[in-house]
Amino acid sequence: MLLRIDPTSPTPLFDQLAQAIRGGLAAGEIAPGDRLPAARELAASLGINMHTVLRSYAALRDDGVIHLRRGRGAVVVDAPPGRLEIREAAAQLLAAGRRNGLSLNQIHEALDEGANS
Amino acid sequence: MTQTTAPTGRVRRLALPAAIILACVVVSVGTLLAWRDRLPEPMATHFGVGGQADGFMSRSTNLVTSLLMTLIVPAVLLAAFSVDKRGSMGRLGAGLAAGTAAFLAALTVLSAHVQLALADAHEARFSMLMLLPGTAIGVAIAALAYRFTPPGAAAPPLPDDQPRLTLRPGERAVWTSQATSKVVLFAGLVAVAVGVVLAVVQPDVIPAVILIVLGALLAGLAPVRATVDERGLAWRMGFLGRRIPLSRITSAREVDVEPMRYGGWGYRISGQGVAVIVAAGPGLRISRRDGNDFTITVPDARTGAALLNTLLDQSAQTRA
Repeated sequence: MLLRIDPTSPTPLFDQLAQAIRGGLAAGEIAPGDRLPAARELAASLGINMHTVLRSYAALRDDGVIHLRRGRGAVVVDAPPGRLEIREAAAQLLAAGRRNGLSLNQIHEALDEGANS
Repeated sequence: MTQTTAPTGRVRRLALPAAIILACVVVSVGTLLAWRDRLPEPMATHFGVGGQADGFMSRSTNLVTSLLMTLIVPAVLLAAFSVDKRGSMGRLGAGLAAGTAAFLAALTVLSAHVQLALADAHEARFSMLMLLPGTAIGVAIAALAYRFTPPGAAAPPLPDDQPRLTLRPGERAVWTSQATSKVVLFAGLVAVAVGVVLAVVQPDVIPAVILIVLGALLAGLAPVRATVDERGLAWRMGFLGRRIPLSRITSAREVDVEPMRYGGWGYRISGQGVAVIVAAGPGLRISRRDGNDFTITVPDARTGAALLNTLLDQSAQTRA
């Protein structure tokens, strides 16, 4: 899993980190059952405070994305909500595209358009 | 540049271990010749576990055998490791070859020494404890050869065709990937289970305890993780692990790992460098400044290589 944060961005670091993890899940880079790095290690890797990482993990746990257990660390739940939601939305978008005779490239373009608008 | 420096580098890398091997041959042969009149005929050349002589050769045959063994075994080791043109394994090969030659020479001398002034070689005793000084000499010479053999030629600058990713200025990134060796985990758990059964059915608990402890240690080595960040590459194999600082890395790439080419599974040292092998498939391979490669098999190695190369570019820019 590749996690990026930008300390110069106005978004709080713990938010950025949680988003990066959700993004990895939605993209399939992080799989259910994967263990996230220990908070201390991840904090050292990114040069941020350990409590910032713990705050991200706590937020993800509250949203039902990961389990947090003492000694076992942070483990991604079997069916993380974000991943299912994205998969369903993608299926709907693909179906809508097919109904209207759009190619995959055109669907990609539509997505880019939506992201930029 | 590499074209002109490679041959001299190679000669320099081979000179020390070759000299040590020759010296060991001279010591073995010289000792056998010097003691020729005080050694029994035939002389003992093999000893059982209990230390009693159980193999015999004429003095001349033993002389030729010792010469060939002390020369050929280390020479083959040295040749096997120096096939690699960049010489990345040169130091390991030099250490291994020199150490083996010293070990063989020490055994020749020690086993001849126990037969001095014996009329009949059957009386010769060679305690297993004698292997200790032999091994100590071998290890010491190996360390010496490793220390004083120059590392492989400086790696060429990072090629542009290696994978990269884009980091915005100020952005920080970490890549981490994990895998679990099912074979190692399974073997460890089987050992623990057998140990538990043994403990129940057998009055002597010591073998059971040893089996359980070894099994647990083995299972503890099953999870493998690689992490790339601004500090470099950190790898873990269960409770073992090391960090390779960014400053010692020259490039990274994804490779397709066939475990047999690395000498099997687990922590391997081979002609491919040091490797942590869990499964066939993608692996992250880094070239180090000292010329030794390191490989670890984890999923998504391409992203890890891309981040590492990007971080290397960044640190090169800051230094420039």
